[in-house]
Amino acid sequence: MLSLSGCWSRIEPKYLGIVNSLIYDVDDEGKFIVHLEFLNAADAGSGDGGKSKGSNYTIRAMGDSPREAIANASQSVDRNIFGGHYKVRFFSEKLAKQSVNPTLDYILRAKITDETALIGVIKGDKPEKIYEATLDLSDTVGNYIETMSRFLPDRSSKAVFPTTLDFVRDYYSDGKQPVALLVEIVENPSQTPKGEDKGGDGGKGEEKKEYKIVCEGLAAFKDGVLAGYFNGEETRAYNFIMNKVHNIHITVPSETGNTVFGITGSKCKVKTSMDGDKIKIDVKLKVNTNIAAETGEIEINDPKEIKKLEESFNEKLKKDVEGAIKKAQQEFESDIFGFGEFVHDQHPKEWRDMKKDWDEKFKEAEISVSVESRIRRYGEIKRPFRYEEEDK
Amino acid sequence: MKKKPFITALQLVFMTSGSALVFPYTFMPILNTPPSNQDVWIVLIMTIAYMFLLNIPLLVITNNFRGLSFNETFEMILGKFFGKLMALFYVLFFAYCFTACMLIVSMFINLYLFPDTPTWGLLVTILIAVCYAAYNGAGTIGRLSTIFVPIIIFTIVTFFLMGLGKMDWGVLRPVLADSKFIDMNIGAFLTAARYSETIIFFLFAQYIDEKVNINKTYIRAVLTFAVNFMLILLPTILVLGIDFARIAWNPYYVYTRQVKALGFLERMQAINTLAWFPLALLKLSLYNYMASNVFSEIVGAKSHKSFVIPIAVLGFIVCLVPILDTSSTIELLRSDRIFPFVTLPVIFVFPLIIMIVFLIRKKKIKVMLKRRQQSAAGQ
Repeated sequence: MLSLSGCWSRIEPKYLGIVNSLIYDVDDEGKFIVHLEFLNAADAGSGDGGKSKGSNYTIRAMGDSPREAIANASQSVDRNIFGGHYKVRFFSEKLAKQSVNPTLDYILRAKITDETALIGVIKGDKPEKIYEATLDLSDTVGNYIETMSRFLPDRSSKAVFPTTLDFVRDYYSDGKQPVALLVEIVENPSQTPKGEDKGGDGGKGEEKKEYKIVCEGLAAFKDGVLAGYFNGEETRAYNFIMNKVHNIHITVPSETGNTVFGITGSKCKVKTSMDGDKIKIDVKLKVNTNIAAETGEIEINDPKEIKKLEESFNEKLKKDVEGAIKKAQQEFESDIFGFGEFVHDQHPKEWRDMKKDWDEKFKEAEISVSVESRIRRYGEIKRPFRYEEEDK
Repeated sequence: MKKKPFITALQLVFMTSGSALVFPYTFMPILNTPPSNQDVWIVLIMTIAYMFLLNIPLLVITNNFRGLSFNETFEMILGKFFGKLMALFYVLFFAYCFTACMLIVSMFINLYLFPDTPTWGLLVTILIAVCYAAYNGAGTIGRLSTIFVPIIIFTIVTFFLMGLGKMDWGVLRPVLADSKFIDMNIGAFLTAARYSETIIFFLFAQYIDEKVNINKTYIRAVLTFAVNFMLILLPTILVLGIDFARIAWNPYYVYTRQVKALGFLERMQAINTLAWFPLALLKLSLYNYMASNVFSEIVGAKSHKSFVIPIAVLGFIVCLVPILDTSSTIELLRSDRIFPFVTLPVIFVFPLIIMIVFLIRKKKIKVMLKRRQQSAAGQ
């Protein structure tokens, strides 16, 4: 161990520039651009919570390849760039539309990068704006996204948080295409502008805009190229098929108001069959729900009403799931749901012939969705609040 | 007469299984052997059957020549000249394994841990420890194995359990649908052909108590290896997926990088590395010791000690030959095109010839053995 401590590769922590997140981008001439967000360890450890000077520091560099761009970044950093603590790596929309394959090759090949970081796409043509966004209680964008990935899936299934490994695994799969986290930078009207001082004379000059990060939807890929986006509801449908829905709430309108369903568990089963050249895919969803809120005047103790509520929920979810699948089939032409893996599993002989042009087959596949839900609990009151009042 | 070191059956089990685990731990060749798909775990089970089959000749010889050294056994069966010639082939094989293993270890360290450290620096660090263990002989290596191998087994089980939540068991489906029976047999055969640790058994059997049942000890060693191999293989393919695991230089290490626990235990691969490195040193010590031990008997030297450092230096020089210290050469050396076919003659073809000669000359050899036992008892 003594001899190992003196290895050539040693670098004292004080000389490390720890990268917390980065953006891979490309310019019009095909040059790679990287935006690196460094963790300001000294500042983060200060008594003021690391907020006084800002705990992150970002730089931009260019090069003919992603690796060269990172190497060029060293020219304006007084530390050794260290990528062992990446929390998230982003692709710009522009790069993702060209191909992420050259960047992934570097990521998988290089020692300083690993596959545990989250992977995402920043929507829009100015991805670097993410570093100007309000970060709430986090000190860096990397930590912000990483913290969000721990809690958001349990609150809302309108986003996905795949790691680089998840992306790579799906990329290599013949029957599934990868997806990435979708991040959008939007103006934040609720925050007080922190640019010019508006006091006294009522504000001078141009007001500095505040941005916030929104993680909603997903970025769908096909063979390493961005195929399109899902919005929040489509992503929720995607998560239902992927069995990744936890404790979320779905609001379904009824004749007299809205019913909010709390999802306590769901199970998706996929069955595939062959009809000549045609592939049929049956998606069966079984969902356990609770009633989280009822704003209408429904007697929820009545089994008939419960049945109606279940049917309206089934219809809503079926529509969402069918819409998401249709979009993947027709717009993306990319099987991000992994139906190909089910065909492989259930029809291995036929799969051998069709795996090479699975995306074409997927596009033409006949996909049917059925949803079966069950309302188990109504919460701590037996009747809708309003209903009971009128009853009195 | 040389004073023989005493090792226990458990130490022998640990030595052979620990040494055998270095390859799956380091580069998992089974992923690239046919059928190279989700049925790889079945190939591993079939491999055990092939291992038993391929090791029968060596086991027969080991059982019949208990207490005799490597060279003495060969000379008794094949005669002095051919016995020495055969032993020389084994010395070359041990030296090859020693060098190839050193190359693989240094490449792993260079790729994943210390990219700036020159190969010579890594090799010197490795060789100091290896020479020390090999110089002290079988007893020291046996004792080392009782420390290193339980640690590695503990880490394998721990990493398996900690990765359970990340494992996608669907990766294993469809079962037996994409593989041809012949491909699976080829894969199992090639994987079994890489298992050269039965020679460790053969050489070290002279140092264990004659009352110990060699066959039972051998079965325990093979099962220890196979169970741990399965615990390495399964999480690797279930977490990384078959295709990505196949292209990674060290898929198990990449798997351990993914393991996190309790929200704060991260970068656990450091534990994997700490356990793996001594195991690699154990394997290198074993092969260095075997090469120097057999060579010392061929030339009639009193001790193996004089040959430990020259063999290490030879391996060191070979490893530094520029054409050898490249990823492509190492890939070729460890591939199915080369490695199993270097190992196969040594673990199966030569022992089979020796066993056949033994069976032909059985009566004569039994008399020689009896005489030897009587003279030993007289002493």
